[in-house]
Amino acid sequence: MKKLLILPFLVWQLCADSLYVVTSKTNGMEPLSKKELRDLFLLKKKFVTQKKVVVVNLLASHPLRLSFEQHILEMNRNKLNAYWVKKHFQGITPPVSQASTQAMKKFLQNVENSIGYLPQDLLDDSLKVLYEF
Amino acid sequence: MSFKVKIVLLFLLVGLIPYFITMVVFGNSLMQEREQTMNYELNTQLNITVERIQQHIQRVKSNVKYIATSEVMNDFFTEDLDRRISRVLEKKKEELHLIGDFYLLENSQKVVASSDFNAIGKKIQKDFLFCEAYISPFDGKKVARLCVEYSLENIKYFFSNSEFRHYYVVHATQELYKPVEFESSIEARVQLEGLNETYIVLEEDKEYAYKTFYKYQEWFFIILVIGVLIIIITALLFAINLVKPITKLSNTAKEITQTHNYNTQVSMQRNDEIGQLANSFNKMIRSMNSAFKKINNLNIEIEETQKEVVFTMGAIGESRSKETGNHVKRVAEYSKLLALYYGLDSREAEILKQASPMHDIGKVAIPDAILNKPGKFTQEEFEYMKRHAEIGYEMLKGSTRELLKAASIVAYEHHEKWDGSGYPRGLKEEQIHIYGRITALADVFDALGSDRCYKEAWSDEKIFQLFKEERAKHFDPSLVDLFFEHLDEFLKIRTKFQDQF
Repeated sequence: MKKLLILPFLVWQLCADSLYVVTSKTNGMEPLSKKELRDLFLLKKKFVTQKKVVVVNLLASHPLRLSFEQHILEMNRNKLNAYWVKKHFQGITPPVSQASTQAMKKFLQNVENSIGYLPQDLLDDSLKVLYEF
Repeated sequence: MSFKVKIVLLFLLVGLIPYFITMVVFGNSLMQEREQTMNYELNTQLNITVERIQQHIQRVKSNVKYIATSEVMNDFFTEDLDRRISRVLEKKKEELHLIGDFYLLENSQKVVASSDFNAIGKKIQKDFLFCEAYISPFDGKKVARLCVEYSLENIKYFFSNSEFRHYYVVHATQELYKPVEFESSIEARVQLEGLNETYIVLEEDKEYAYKTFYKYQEWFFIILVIGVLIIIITALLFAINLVKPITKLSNTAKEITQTHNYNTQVSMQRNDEIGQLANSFNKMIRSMNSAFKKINNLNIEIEETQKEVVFTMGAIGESRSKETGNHVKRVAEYSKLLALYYGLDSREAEILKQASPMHDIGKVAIPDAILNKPGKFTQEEFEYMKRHAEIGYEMLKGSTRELLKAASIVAYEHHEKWDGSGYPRGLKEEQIHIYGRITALADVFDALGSDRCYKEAWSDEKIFQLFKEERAKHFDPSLVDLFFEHLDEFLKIRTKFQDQF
């Protein structure tokens, strides 16, 4: 019984510990709030300090993306799908996605002003953490 | 060359020359049309094939354009770490049955993604069919090119070759994928758009292409020959029908000149010029016929008159010497009979018959005292008497008429004897004209058998006796032989023309 109570806590702990919102170190972006991140990833906001931002998702089936949607966007899949359908009629398509965390890292390094999320073990000097959860 | 042949040739010429001109023009246009059709067919076939090739190329190009703008291209920024671009390109290659590969090239010619996985990460330099720039959706910069390589092998896939007809490619003066060489051929070629110096050629074996045409040609010649035959037969029929009445006329004219039958007429039931000509011809022949009849009658009249004159003249001579008129008739008949047996023709015998009565015409110049003296002549009187022969000759010699000429001979020589003892010239044997020899015999035979003022008629036996004695003396021996041979006939004549007392 005690173990059952601990399990979701452990998962949360694991995810929270290993997920960082990052950008390329070169663009000199300041850390962002959860609200700002939410607006950027839902494409409600496109500029941070007058720079056009490219947000990158992992593929829809990726566990890190699920975790990200849960904690930052705070929306489940049904709600999110309804949101993008609505946006679609305004001519707005969801952000680009990458299949793997490796590819995500490469993309962040190569595309200027791009913002994505990576687990802790892939962080290095070329990347700058904007938010941590 | 006969009229008929000329007309036939004219008809043939008039019929055949326009026919040949028409057929040559027709044949030529047929041939041209056939060639045009063949070329048109070849070009159409080729165009269909080229169209399909162009469609394939177009499909490849539009696919490149589509991929270059699709979202998966964002993986360029991850250097296609997950091989998502490469997999799309690979799938597309399969779908298009493409021989050749797609390459996503950085500006430095390094391959980022490709349907050929081995090429990824390498730098390549290739001849591409088409390249589409990849423009970064984030900053609008041209960061890469998506290129496609299109091997000419792709084209080969569209060729449907047969034994006599095949496609091949000419690329930069080089002939590719040519299955066989034809001895002689017809071809059509089209340049491929989008590929440099590349032509598609459709080639067909000439003999095969012209096979159906040669079949046509055979029929054409058969029709030509049939046409020529029809024209020849028609020309012949026309010409023969046209010439027929003319030939008929000319044949009739020929017949008339040969047979002298002026009753012949040409029957022709026509109203045209030839009918009129035939009518005129018939009229002419009829009038000629009547003219000839008149002339003939005149001739007969003249001849009869001549005969009568001659006979009358002879009768005059005889009457002077108190001899009966039948003497001359008998002499005439004897002479004719002898002449025929001697072998003269009937015409000459007839002339002699008519001439012999005049043998004593000279006696008209002898005084009656001497002529009708009973008893023997004195020497002087006899010499005078002898002159009647010469006188008769002198009277008649001037004439050119055959009959009178013969009469002059008879008058001159009827007292000559075979042995040359006669008068007036003392001719002998063959020197004496046959007319003279015959008349001498005939005259003596009749004179001895008749009563004269100076003597009684001799008996037949006495006469025959004398003839036998005088054979080859007074008379021609052959004539004497003939006389005895046909004695009964002479006696018959004597009975027929017996003197009437």
